[in-house]
Amino acid sequence: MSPLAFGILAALVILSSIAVILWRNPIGSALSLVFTLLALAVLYFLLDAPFVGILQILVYAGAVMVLFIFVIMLINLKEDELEKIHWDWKKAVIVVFALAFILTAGLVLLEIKDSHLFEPILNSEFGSSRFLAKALFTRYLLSFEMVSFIILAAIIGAILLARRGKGENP
Amino acid sequence: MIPLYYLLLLSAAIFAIGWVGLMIRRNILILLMSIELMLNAVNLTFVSFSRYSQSMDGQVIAFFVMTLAACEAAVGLAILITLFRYHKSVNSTDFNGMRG
Repeated sequence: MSPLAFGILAALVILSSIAVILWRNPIGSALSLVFTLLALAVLYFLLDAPFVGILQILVYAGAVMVLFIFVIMLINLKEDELEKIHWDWKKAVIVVFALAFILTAGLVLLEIKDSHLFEPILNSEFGSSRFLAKALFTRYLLSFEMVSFIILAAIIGAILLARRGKGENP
Repeated sequence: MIPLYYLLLLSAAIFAIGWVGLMIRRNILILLMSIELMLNAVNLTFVSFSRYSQSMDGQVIAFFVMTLAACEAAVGLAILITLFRYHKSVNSTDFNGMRG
C-alpha cells in the first residue's frame, strides 16, 4: 500500500465518519456511513484481507445499511422532529476528551513505531479465503458454531421485539 | 508498505469519532450508527495486526465482530421500532419510563 493511497483513504474515512455523527437527518448519516464502510473495505483489500473486505461490502454496506435505511424510512421523521445539536461547554469537553484520546494513543503507539516486531513478511498465500477457511473451521470451529447460535437468538429476538402485540394500534 | 503505527492511529481516530457521536447525539438511529463506527475501528485494528504479524487470527476475529455487529444492529433496530411505537419519538431523552 502506497502512502498516497493510505492518506487519501484515511482522509475519506475520517471526513465521512465526522459527517455520520454531525448530519442532522439520519438518512444523510446512513449514506455517509455506507461511504465510510466502503472506504474501509478498500483499506482491507490493500491490507491483504480480501475476504474480510468482501464481507464488509456484502454484510455491512449491503445488509446492515439497508436495514438502517429501511427503518429510517419506516419512522419517517418530520423536519421539526429532527434534533438540532446545541454546542455547549459539555459537548466541547467531550470533543476535547476525544482529541486527548487520539493524542494519547499516538504517544503510546510511538513505542512500537520503530520496532521490528511488526515487519510485514510477504507471503503470496496470505489472506486467501483458503487460509481463512482453514483457521475458521479448525481452531475456531467452536466459536463459529456459537456465532450461528447467536444469529439464531438475534433473529428470534428481533421478531419478538418488533412484532405487534394483540389489540395494539398499528 | 506504510508502518503499522498510522493504521492504528486511524483506527483510534475512528473510535474517538464514534464515541463523540455516542455522547453528543440524542437520536437513537445515530447512536446505533456511532456504535457501528466504533466496531469498525476495532475491526481495522484486528485486520492490520493480522497483516503485520502474518497470522490469520485477526481476520477470523474481524469476521466474528462483523457477524455480531449485524446481530446487534438487527436487535437494536427492533427495539427502536418498539420504542417508537409507544413514544412516537426516537429521542433518547424521551425514554424515561423506567425512572423510579
